[in-house]
Amino acid sequence: MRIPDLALHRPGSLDEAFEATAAHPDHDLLGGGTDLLCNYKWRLNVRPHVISLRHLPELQGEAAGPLAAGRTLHELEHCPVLAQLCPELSRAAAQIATPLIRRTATLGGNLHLDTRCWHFNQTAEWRLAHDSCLKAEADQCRVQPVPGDVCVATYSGDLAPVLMAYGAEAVLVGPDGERRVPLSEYYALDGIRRFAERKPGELMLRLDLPQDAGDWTVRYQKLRLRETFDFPEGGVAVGVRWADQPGGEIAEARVASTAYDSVPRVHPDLAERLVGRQIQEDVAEELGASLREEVRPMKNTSMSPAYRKKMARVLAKRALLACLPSS
Amino acid sequence: MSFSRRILRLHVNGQPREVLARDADTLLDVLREEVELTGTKRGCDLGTCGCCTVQIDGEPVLSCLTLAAEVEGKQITTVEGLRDGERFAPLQEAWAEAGASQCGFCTPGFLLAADRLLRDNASPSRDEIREALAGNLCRCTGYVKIIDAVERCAAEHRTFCAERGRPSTVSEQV
Repeated sequence: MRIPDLALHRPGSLDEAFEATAAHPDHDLLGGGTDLLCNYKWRLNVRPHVISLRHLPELQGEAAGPLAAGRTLHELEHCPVLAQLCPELSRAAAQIATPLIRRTATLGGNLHLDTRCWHFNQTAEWRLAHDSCLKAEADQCRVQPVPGDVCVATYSGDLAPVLMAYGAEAVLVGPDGERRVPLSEYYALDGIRRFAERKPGELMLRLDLPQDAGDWTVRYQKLRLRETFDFPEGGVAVGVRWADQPGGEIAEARVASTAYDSVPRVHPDLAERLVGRQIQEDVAEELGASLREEVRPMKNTSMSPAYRKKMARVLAKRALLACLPSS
Repeated sequence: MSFSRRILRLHVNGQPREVLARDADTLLDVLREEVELTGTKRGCDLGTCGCCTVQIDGEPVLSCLTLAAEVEGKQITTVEGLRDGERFAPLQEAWAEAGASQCGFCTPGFLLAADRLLRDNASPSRDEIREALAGNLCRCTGYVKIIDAVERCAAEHRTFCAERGRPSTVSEQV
């Protein structure tokens, strides 16, 4: 499969990148390209200009920081700083796709992963035969035909819920300078628009963790058919900060999910119910049952929505129990 | 809007190569059709099968998902670059001895991924080999003989190095 013609721009500085994005509004940003180039081969929303972020020193290399957006998933997996600071992020990175893809795919790319759908991630011929989908050539969603004007494609990144459980902030940079946005507020509940907080021309520079990130215990559970290759069919991250001793009373909690919606989501009400309690089987069961009630998977991935919904209970329960020091 | 081709200066298997390519051409397109090194295979073309694996500056990379223009100036190694002159590399010999190839279509990708593993880890366990090769698919032989071949090569290399008092991995050499 040949990628359709496009013009590749390779800025070597942030200023050059801003110039390129301003000069070519109809562009895509290229991180590792392991998702974008697959979509291009299937003629999915190909843009005439692609701006590579791989030559910006602010985004890669050790000097850019452990959570620079251009770091590869392989680097996240093997980074000694992250192993100390947020070990579950390294473990989650190690569960993404395959070792070969992780050599190229980036943190920023995973956070900006295009939403996926059974009716979207198909060849051009398949889409043509099936009247395509709202996110590609058609004007109505085939998963949820009524009202049909909102894309319900599934967000399938693994790192966003883990970073949300650590309380991460996205650092964005544009011609007007840097600004910070809590990652939990970065996304928009629309599989096409996708981002609530990204302005045209802005780039994600890095993720910053709060000062107390090291005090949090975070665990992530992922549902998939194979232990390699597959995107999550469901994913739950649970983070707890202990009031006193690890395994004792919970002082603060965060719960986040992925692959259940067009966005990775935090569940503040569920997290609040954990505060002041100790992790026990019944508490974990209660969390799982509540999350199962909250998630609304669509019929747009390989596994059935009913199964994915049932597994939300299991994943949440496992994630919370795994926070115990004895697990 | 018109899209022109441009000259790319690549370093393939230690040799400088100039090729004419579109910005949209992948490294796989260029290696097979411009450089005419067809050892690198086009399988799924979507990063799933690992048949197109090459090494960029020593790291295994999927050439089907790498734009050729992005690797100008970097050292590209294909399966043709593994051998030493007329001699096959020890890993290739081990592959043949273990019977790890049947149709052979996946073999170049496996070799490049396994080569990287052995440069880091002279004594990989079978689980470590499985993990390192988890992005490469074989649809005919199965994986037992492939893992056998990597183990065999690692053992022979360790013996070779021990007899000469040399370190057996790149990491040890550094």
